[in-house]
Amino acid sequence: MTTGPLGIVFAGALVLLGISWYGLFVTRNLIKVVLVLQVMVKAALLLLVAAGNASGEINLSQSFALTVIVADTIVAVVGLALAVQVHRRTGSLDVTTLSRLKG
Amino acid sequence: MAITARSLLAATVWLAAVSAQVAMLMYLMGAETVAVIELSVGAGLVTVLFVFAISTAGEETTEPAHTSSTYGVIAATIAIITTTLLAWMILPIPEAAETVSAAGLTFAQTLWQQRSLDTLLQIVLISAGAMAVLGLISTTRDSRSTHEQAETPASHSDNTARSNSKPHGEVELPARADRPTQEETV
Repeated sequence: MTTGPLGIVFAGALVLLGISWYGLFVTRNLIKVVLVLQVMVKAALLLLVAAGNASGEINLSQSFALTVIVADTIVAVVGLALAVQVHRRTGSLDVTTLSRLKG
Repeated sequence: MAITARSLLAATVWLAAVSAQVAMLMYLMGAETVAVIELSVGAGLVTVLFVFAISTAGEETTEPAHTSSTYGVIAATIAIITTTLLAWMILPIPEAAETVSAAGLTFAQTLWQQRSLDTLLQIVLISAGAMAVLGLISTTRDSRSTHEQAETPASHSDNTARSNSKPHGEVELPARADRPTQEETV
């Protein structure tokens, strides 16, 4: 196991992933859920680029990371649009209000 | 800080800071193109989207007052266990390779030749994102016109029944035929 700069990046990305994982559990605001997902994807992006650097395929990992960035942005847009719609219909951004919805 | 901040706007600013830091690390690892894209999209576009959504939906700072300490401890335990398992799977970390690419391809060649299917997927995703942005914008338009049309009786029978069961300000938009659909707008 290396303790160089790449090891620090790996460790930092893992810590970021753990923090966002915890945040996903405790967050109840819908907009903040989307925000926490963004943090989680950024940690995954960092791991992806670090893995590309470690394996010597940095260009391949860049093309993967580009796709992930596009998909991540679309997820944010759709999630925020859904959150705004939920706020408009229920008057709240709390996810516990969604459990009272009936089909 | 992005997660624990009570204010949504403060959390958004912290998210932009995280994005900038991630972009810096990517640049240092040799992924210059993606670092620039991450900086512009992650710290720019996504921040603007969050601020727009917060200004539309309003700021609610209800948490973490609702979160009990027991639930927080359980969540932290699960997060630590899963992260440790992930670290155990990907460790030991290999040393950084000296070669830039085994095949000798540049980023553009890799993207357009090897991963051309990803490019098509990105086009589809961007189209879906454009639809979602239109939905986000039309939401604010709907909420404005809903207040105006709540006084007049709705023409459509289904929407009338639904409108009567909801309080003022939460009624559905009665008729959508007078407005162009999202596909027509695009």
